[in-house]
Amino acid sequence: MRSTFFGLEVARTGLNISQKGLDVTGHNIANVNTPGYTRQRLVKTAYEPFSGSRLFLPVDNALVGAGVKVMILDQIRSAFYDRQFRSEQTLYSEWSTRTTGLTYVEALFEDFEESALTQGINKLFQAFLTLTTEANDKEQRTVVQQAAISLTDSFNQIYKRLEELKENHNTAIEAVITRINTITDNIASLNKSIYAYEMNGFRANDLRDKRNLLIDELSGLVDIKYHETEDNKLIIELAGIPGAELVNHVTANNFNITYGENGLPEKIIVDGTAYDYSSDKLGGELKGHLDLRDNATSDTPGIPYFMEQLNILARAIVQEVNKIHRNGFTHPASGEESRTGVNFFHEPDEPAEVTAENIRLSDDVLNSVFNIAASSKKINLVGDGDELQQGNQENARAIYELLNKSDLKNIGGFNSFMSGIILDVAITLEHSKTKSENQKSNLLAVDNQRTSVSGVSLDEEMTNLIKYQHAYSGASRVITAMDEALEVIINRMGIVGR
Amino acid sequence: MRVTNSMLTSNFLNNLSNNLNKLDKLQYQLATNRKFAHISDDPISVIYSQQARYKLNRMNHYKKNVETAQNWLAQAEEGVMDINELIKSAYETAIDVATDVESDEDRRNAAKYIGQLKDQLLQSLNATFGDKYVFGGYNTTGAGGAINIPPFTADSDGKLYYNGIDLSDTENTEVIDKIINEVLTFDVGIGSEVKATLNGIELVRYNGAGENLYGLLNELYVAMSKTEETHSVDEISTIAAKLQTAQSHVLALAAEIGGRTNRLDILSLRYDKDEVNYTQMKSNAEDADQAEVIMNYKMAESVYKAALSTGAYIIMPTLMDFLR
Repeated sequence: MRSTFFGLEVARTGLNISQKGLDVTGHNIANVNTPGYTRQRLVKTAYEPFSGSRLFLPVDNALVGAGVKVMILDQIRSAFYDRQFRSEQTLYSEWSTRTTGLTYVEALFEDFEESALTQGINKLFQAFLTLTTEANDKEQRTVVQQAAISLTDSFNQIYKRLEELKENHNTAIEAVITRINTITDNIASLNKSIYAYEMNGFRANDLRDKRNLLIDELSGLVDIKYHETEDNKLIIELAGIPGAELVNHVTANNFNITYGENGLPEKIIVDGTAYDYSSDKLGGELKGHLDLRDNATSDTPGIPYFMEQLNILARAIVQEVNKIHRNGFTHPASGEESRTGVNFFHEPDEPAEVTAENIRLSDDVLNSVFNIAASSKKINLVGDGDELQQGNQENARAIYELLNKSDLKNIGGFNSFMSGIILDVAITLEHSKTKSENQKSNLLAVDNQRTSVSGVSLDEEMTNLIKYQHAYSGASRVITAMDEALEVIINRMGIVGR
Repeated sequence: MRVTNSMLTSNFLNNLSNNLNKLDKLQYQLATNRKFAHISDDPISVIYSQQARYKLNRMNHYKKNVETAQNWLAQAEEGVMDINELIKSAYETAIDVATDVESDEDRRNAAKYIGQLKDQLLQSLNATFGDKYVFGGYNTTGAGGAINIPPFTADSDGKLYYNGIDLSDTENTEVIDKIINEVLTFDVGIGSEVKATLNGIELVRYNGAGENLYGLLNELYVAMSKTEETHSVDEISTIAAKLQTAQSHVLALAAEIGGRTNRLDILSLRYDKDEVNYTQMKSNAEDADQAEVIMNYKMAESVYKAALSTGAYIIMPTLMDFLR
């Protein structure tokens, strides 16, 4: 037998649900521009009919349901697209970090007309060539000296700037590691809140949104792998090192990198356990910075690789020029007798010690331009026979010839090696830019997919608004109808004839 | 596929940004006439550009040397022609005097003239180009300076010294042979060099060891200064014949200088042509084609405008505008 107020109760559930629906729609609309917000919807289901006792079967065999109830307030989000997004995000961060870093390196190697180094090398040899027409001329010798100083200055400057760039990456790496640890701490505390909240059977939608945002950011910093266990616990690990857990439910483990004696990274430490270091294991923005700061090989070259190229060139210039210069004789106008074995560039005992940072002119040539050994024979200012060699410029010619040589040890030719370095920079950066742009497209496409599923569409919410509004009016009408029916029963039944 | 407002806005912004990037690039090309702003934009063109620049630079180095060499050779040629004239005069005088008709008086005057020619020869040998001795071998500098040692000197015995070495002394042959090759040489091309002048010794040594022009003139002077009794026409004739040998030697050297000058002229012309070629190469690699860039720019600009206006259309209205 149907209870008296059954209809009212049913209509009341309708009202409740519509009101709740309006609330949810309002919440969605309010958050249409919130980053990371996932649209929520009310999952409703009909109440089953009360089966009651067999003794009181209704008049007809129709069992009517008891209204509508909320199953859960759920958010619509695709975990699959989330995973895709995060793996693309890791790659994109890595390449865009690399591109930005390499752009700074590029700026050092190109100038409007010609790079300062290429110009420097050409001017030095040009000065030597002109010296061959004016071997005795103080002005021309000064031009040679100044051209050499300008070249060594360029080397020193560029090397220093590269060192500074390396240092910038160092600072960035420290910042990224700190940020990773902060994020994992936040995720751990969010895990705690979400777990507690959801134990009651509710969905912690907004907390989950916050957590997803943090995981998005983390995936850009380092390559991660994550999963939620059956009992709702989230575990995040480093994708490159299975078993290295950054977050295990409510525990956040500290992440750090330690360095060896040579200044290069040695171990990755997660929660006290040390793993062998490899930047490939880390991925993301962290890998981008690490590769740029540390890599010295031509495979994914970093700043140290280009610094070493410069060093090789500097060494070659010093060794080759000095070798020929030592064969020649200085000019007595320097104050000392014409002598041989003089270095043009400063050459330390160990030739491998010369770097782009410390390349400089020899003290002799700095003190006097007449110590430039242009002559192939000893010069006397007075004398006879072949002692008056002031016009001798054969050694200067031999030095100029170095520019035309293409079989020098380690570098081939000066100009071709310099061009090679510049091209190396250009091609490395171009490769990085292309990859970065491709990744960006990928990322955007996945993000679109993701937002398509979880984003708020104002049109849709408007339609929902109308839907719930009408449902609300409908439910209220049902109540009115029930009310009138009851009123008839209560107030006007049985007064016939009174 | 379900499309949300945030998708619309983010796609719109992304497309705008792409369009602006293109516009930016084209604008740079228009403003600077360069194809690429950074070497990473177009590494292939960078290769060509670098090669063209390098070739241009090197060619310019050599071109300057060619000019300097041409100047030196012009000076040398003048000096050589001067000496040629000198030998001619000496020869004519010798021929005149090599007759018995001449009187003592005439012969003495002729001798004085030869004496002057001797001094002239010395002067020519010590000719300078600015502050450098043209025929001094590697003793080029010092002229007019604090330490001034002319390469060629002579003594009263009629001996010619180069840097103190007696050219007529056969014991000095070894040293002289070494020195005679010390001539200023300039590089005028890859693997290409030119001797910019002559060594004075080569000018005066007309037949190998021992004998030189100055000594010859001195002999003539001595022969002409002889008195009526001791002078011999034959002697003077012999000397005159030797003068002819000297003259052909000098003329041969003059021809050689002429040949070198010719070679340099041709080289200079070739370098001018090369300059045009290399500049063309450089321009092809680096410069933007203005007409093409302007066309692309206009296209990109209209695309940008279209994107802006359609974006505005799509983003603004929602269902809200149409509900009561």
